[in-house]
Amino acid sequence: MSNFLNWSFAWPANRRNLYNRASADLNGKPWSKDRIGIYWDAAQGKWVGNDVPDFVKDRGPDDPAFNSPFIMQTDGKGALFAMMNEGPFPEHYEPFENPMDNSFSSIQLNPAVQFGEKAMNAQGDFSKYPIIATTYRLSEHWQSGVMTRNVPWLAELVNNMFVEISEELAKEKGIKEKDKIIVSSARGEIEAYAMITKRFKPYKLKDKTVHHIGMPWHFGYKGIATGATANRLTPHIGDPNSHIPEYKAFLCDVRRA
Amino acid sequence: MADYIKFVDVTKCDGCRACMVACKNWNDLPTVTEEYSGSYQSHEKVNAHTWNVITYNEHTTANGGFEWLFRHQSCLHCVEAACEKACPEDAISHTKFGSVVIDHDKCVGCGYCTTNCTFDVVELATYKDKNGKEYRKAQKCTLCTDRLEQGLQPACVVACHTDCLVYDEKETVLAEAEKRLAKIKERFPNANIYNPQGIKGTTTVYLLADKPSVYGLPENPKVPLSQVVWKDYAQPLGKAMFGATTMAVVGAVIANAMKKDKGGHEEGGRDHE
Repeated sequence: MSNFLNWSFAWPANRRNLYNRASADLNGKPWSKDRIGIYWDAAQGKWVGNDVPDFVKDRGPDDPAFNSPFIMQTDGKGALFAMMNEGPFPEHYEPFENPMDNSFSSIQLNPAVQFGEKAMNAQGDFSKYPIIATTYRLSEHWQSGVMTRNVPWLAELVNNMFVEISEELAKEKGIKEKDKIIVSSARGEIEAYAMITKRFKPYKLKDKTVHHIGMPWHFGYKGIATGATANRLTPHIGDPNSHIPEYKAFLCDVRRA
Repeated sequence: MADYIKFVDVTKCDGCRACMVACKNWNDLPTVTEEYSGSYQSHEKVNAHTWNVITYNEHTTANGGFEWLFRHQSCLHCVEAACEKACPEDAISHTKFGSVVIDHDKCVGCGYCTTNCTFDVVELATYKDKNGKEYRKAQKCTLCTDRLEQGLQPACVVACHTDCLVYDEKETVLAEAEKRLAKIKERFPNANIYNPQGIKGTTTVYLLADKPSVYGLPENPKVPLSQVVWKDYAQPLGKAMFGATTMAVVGAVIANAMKKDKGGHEEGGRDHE
C-alpha cells in the first residue's frame, strides 16, 4: 500500500486508513504481498507495517475485540449501503427549482430530500424567475468570508460582491460594466455589482433558451470587505444522505438597480 | 555564480494570486484597494505598494475560441534598464543577481524612472517624515534581492503552486521554456518566449500564450537613444566639465564630504557609549 507515513501528518495519530485491521486476514497476515497495510508480527508481539493501527497494537489477531473492528460504527460491524436515507441505486432528480420536467424519471424532485426552515424555502416558478443561478467559492475567500474578508491582503483582492452575467443577458437587460444589479428569487433579493463576462453564455434546454448567472457566496455585512449575502437567494433544502444544501442550482431574475 | 532568472509560464497560471499576497507579506506592503473594475482583476496595474498583479484577459482567439489569459505582471529586471539610464541620482543599479534595485538613500523621488520605464512598473510612493513633511521614493519589485542574498527564492516563486513561476539557472530555464513552447504551440499558435533583445533580454522571461501586445507588453522594446546619450555621455561629461571649471566649488564639496565623514565617526562613537 502506498502509504508515506513521514510525508505530512494525517489526523488522528498519523493514521492513513481507518479500520486498518481489515488490511490483514483473520490470522493477521497481509491479504496481498503487494498491498501491505498492517500485519501481526508474532516475534515482536505487535502489529507493524505501513500504517498506525486504530486499536491496541499488541492485541493478537485472534483477540475477541476484532469481532467488531469498525470502531466508528455503533455495532462495530462493516456494512454496505448502511443507514442511508435513499439509495443505493442512483436516480436522476431535478433541482427544487427548475425550468425543466425530469426527462429521466416520472418523479421531479427527490422525495427523500431534507427541508430546512419553511420560510427559507419558498419555491419560485420559471415564469416569474426565468434565469438559472449558481453560487461558488473563490480562491481568495473561505466559506462566508468572516475570516478572509478581515485579512487586508485578501480583502484587497476581492473587495466587492459581484454577480457574473453573460454579455447577451447584459444587453437584454441594459446592464453596463460596473453597474449595480438586483438579483431576486422567491426567497429574497440582493444588490451587487455586475460582472459581464464571456465565460457565461445562454444555452438551450430542449426548446428553451435560458440565461445562467453565477456569484460567490463569501460576502456579509461586517468586515473590511462587505457585500450582499448570496444565501438570501438560495433554497435551503439538503441531500437526503449528506444533508449538503442545494446552493448550486436555483431560479432568479435580474434587473438594474 | 551561474546566472539565475525568473521564468513565468503564463499557461500554467490559474489566477490564484498567492504571488500577490506573498509579495505583500514578505515586503510588508500596505493594501491599495481600488474601485470595482468590472472583472476579477484587483488592480489596474502594478503600483508603488503592489509590486505584482495578476492581469485577467478574456481573450477571443483568431478562430473564435475563448481563452482566459492570466499574466503575473511585475518588474522584468531588464538587462539594459531604461529606469537606470533615466535616473539622475545614480540611485538605480543592477545587483550581482541581475535584479534592478533602487537605493532609497539616493532616490530623490523625481519620477524620471516612472516615466521612462519600458513596462510601466515603477511608481512613486508618498511617505511622511516625523515633522509631517511629505517625501517620495520610487518603488517596485526587487526580485526579492534580500531573499536571494540569503540563498532563498523570491517570495512569489515560493508561493506559486502550479510552477508557473520558477527561479533557476538561466540555461536550464531557457531550455525548459523551449520545451514548453513546443508543447503548447498546438493550443496557442501565437505562443512565444518573451525575452526582448532590444533591451538585451530580461531577468524575468515569459512564456506567453499569445502575442505580447495581447498582454499589454511592447512587441520589441528599446531604451531610447536619447536616454543612453544622457546617461552614458552627457552626464559624465557634464560632471567632468563641472569639475574642471569650478575648482572652488569642488573644494567646498570635498571639504563638506570630509566634514560629513568626521561627523559620521562622531555619531558612531556616541552610539557605542
